[in-house]
Amino acid sequence: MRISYLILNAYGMGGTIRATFDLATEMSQRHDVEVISVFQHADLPFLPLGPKVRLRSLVDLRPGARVRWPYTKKAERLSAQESALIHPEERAYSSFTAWSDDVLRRELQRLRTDVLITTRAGLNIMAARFARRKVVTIAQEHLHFEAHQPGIFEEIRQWYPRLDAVVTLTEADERDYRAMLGQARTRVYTIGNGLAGGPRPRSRQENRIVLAAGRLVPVKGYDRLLKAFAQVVQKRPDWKLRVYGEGRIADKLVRLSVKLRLHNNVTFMGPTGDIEGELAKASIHAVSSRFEGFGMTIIEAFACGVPVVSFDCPRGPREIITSGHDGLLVPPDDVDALAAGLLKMIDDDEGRRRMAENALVTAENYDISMIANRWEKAFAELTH
Amino acid sequence: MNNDDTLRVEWPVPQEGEIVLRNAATGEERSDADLTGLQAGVWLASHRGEPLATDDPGFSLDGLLAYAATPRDREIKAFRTSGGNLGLSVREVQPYVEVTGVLSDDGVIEVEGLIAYGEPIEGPARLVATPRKGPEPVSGPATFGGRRFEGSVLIAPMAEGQTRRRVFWDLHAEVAGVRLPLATRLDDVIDKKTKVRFPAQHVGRIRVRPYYTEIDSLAVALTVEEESS
Repeated sequence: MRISYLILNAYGMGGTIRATFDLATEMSQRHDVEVISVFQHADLPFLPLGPKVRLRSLVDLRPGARVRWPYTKKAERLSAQESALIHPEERAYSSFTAWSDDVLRRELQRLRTDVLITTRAGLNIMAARFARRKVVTIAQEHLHFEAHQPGIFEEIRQWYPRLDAVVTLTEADERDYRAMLGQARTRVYTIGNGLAGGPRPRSRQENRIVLAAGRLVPVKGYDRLLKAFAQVVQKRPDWKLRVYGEGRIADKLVRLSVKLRLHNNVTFMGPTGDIEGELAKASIHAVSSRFEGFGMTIIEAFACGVPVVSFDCPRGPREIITSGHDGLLVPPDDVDALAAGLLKMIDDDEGRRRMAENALVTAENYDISMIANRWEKAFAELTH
Repeated sequence: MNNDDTLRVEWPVPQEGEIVLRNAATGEERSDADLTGLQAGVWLASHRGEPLATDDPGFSLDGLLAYAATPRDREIKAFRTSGGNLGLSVREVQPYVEVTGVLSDDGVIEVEGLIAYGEPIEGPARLVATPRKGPEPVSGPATFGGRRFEGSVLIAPMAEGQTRRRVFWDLHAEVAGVRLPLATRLDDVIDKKTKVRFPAQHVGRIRVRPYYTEIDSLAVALTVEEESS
């Protein structure tokens, strides 16, 4: 089967790129797979991609890149104009131009493949509008249903019924898309992101370290995690919290940490390229998000033998964590409950080790080969 | 990694062939489990010509503290590289006090720590703050109880003679004329200078804030704050 993934920019780093590359690599063992990147700003991708996967780009943004004749002049002219086909509320709108509109439309109109998987709202809508009828179109939503602004949501409502399928990360999103699509023939599947195979480090459950990871932005709720951890260190002063990531509220969080006198217990570690290595040094993963679209680090933590204490926030955590089995879910927005959950996990050494073992088993459900099987089942239903 | 500096590797199934250690900088190779005499630097382990993959996170906070309980002049740490392979780091060390806690409140800086790589000490000592330029050193009471160290120093006397805009003070534990530096090194946190922020206190217009230096030693910065701020 010929499978084409269409992605905004395959040359950066980020969750969508990694998930797409891992899946494309796995699929390339049995299928003819290509990744089409709308933009290219670097010579080589940052994240690893299997050797059997073909990678090509549509708009070359590298310095000195030239568009071939007879499009040279047209490209110059259109590159200076705003995109008319992508909705301004698409989060990546600023990347698109009238030139990328033109290139993307032509690409979709002539693309001969069996399955086209597009990976964000703007590209999903473009596939619905311009892909050839014979191509099975599958829109993947890495964002949750309610993350879309009203304007682009109207376009989603208008165009998604033309797609063959929508694939969501959570069952909650699946329900929302089914409700939106109503009578349309478009099918909806929930298929989470998969974990790439290969050896990974495993926590020995010996370091008194709680780990949190993600961009330092308000939605991650780190202010509440710090307040909860201040309660934890009152009782267990030998436990430490490590926060990985960077973001616009970094300084605010550092100031809060100082105000709470957490300087001996909390370290803002900055970004890491080896989150699994860092997870394996810890014994507990804390998730304090107000909202979590999926929760890839929860799965990564599980795969490293690290149980999770998480707010029971919408949407991902409650679909991944079985509270009391491989982690603990505590009432959302409740600092005291998060502190109590962390202390419970800290103090119950035996229970924590049991949950760490269970977490390893849970993680197997997200193994990329299992995830690939679910995609293939969907392909079979859509192409027969 | 054992306390006696031998490298012990557990395999899922028994393996033949020896483990080769290669110095990342010089290319020198060694192939015995006894690591005495290994030169300072990073050594990468391989087996049958392939890097030795490990699922051990290669990091134990308690293990590092326990290892440093023995007096020694060379520290050998096994670690997992970001690519998932076994490496060893070898470093020359001298006795110092590994800082485990800092309190910066109520006009005092208090430090708790453990002697690393040195003999245990019993009895009274001093926590000495020495300015890099300007005023005279200032000290406060401290005690050693075996490996344990506790000491404090008042910040007012440090601020007293300050004429420059900013003065940096280095901290030491001093006992019987011997000075042990105060530092936090038994972890994997790099660049503590930018990552760790201690609470600031004020003596009049002078802001007093402990900080880590580029070599992870504990120091204190005294800064005259501008009128406007």
